Amino acid sequence: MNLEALIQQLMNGLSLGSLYALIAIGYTMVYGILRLINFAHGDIFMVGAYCAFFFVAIFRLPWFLSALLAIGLTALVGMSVERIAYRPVRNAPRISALITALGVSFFIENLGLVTVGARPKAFARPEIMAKVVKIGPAAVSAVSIWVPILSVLLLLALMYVIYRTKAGMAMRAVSTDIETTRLMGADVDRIIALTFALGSALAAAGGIMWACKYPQINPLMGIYPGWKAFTAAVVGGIGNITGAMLGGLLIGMVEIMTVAFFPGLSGYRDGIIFTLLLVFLLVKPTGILGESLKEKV
Amino acid sequence: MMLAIENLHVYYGGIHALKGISMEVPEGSIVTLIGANGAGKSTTLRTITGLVRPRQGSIKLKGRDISRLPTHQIVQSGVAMVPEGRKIFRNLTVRENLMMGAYHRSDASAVQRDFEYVIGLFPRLEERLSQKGGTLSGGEQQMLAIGRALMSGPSLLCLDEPSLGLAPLLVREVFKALESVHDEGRTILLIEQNARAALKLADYAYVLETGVIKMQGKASDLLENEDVRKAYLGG
Ligand SMILES: Nc1ncnc2c1ncn2[C@@H]1O[C@H](COP(=O)(O)OP(=O)(O)OP(=O)(O)O)[C@@H](O)[C@H]1O
Ligand SMILES: [Mg+2]
Repeated sequence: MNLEALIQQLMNGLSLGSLYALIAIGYTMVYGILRLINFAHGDIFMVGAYCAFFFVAIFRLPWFLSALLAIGLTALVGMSVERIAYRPVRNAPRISALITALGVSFFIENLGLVTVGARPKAFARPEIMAKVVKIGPAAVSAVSIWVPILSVLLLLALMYVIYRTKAGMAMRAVSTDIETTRLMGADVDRIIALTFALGSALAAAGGIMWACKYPQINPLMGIYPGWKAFTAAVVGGIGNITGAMLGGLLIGMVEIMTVAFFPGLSGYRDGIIFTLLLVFLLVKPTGILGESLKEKV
Repeated sequence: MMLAIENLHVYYGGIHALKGISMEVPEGSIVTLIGANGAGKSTTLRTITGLVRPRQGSIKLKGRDISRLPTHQIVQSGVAMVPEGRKIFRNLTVRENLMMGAYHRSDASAVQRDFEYVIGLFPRLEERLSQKGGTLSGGEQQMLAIGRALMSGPSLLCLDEPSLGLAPLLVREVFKALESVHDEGRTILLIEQNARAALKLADYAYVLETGVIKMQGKASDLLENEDVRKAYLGG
């Protein structure tokens, strides 16, 4: 492979990886707090992309305003899912919660198929994302540069919330001990709702950027990215935010490099990632940063 | 009356853990509830703070029934608890643990005052403010748990076996701190298996036996009582 192609693939892997990281964080935060795998999280990502699509295509709002509104609206959707579907089973056996999460996932996907239809829609991306930029000898699509930059900014903002604000402190407290957090006079329901809002907002941002990168959206677009981001969360050490970021980057790179270096295997790119998931679940279920699993949110 | 419990019944599934207990904690007093393992002491405190729901009976805080309120509202109305086993947030720093205690308060200057008060009460915590709670020794964790409870500015401080697992010297230190908290005018409900220390500190005492109040009286009287000596003070 020449230098030009290598730079292109690295940027590709970096941008795909940061998108997985953004989604993985939602899985890991919810797991850290409720020990629940929110299977509907990939579909929340899809909802984010569709919200932005509709704000632009139907309400004719400027692109960046649409993206912001879509992120806000998706956060509300995520909170509603928690309120309507997960809160009633919070004290039920864990298997009930998992089945509920699967149900919510199918529900959102099928609601999407019924309301907006299965046919993919063309997602209008803003001019600056569509450009082609030169990095050294390589021509790289601007979206592959913007995605990692925006993702890092979002992740820094998230770290700020979690480690520097009162609400973030409460989220970390809930993840160690819900009951004792209640004894602090904190309304745990609100803290959990906030966790879903943050995770869903990041997923929406990921969904919108995904749609900029692959500008065809459909109601099932969240399934594969969702599963891969879940893999990223497990590989990084589920419950661990830094782990989710690392895992996302790793999965994105592995996926792109598999295709780049072994074009013959490109049909197996998903299979390879899910094999990785199985291997980790069997060999090291606590993931790369599993040792520090107590530092979870 | 700071706290008045009447005819409280609590069940865990089929287990009848509290069988109609009644007790009172007058404002400004230290009341202790002593009893053997499994008597229902923790259950009593957990019911007061709303972590467990009573099937029957009332719990009044300054005349207002709190027995159906969610835990965070009970705490916001002035009840703080030091739970059994301390329950420090291991992954939060000592400072953050203390600030969690003040989570629902918005008056920053009052919180700051209480913070300084707690640091004055337990100077050992000061050097460890940025250490993770999980790295503290057992005694330090107990001090942190008490300090964290005080950070909510409670009118009633409930403690579930603060002496558990502590060396005698530390037990004395913790009890001295409780005495000084009491001198500040706070009301304390103390649960203990270390009956001697508890009775020495308290004004009034209740003896709980398998979910029933078996005896009550002035703490100094119970300390002299023949039956109490035999059952709880080792003869
Ligand atoms: N979550 C629970 N589920 C079922 N039974 C319980 C539960 N918690 C307590 N019990 C039972 O209720 C009774 C009272 O328990 P409790 O913890 O209140 O006792 P305690 O006086 O605090 O004892 P200890 O001194 O050992 O802490 C015991 O018989 C106990 O087995
Ligand atoms: Mg107990």
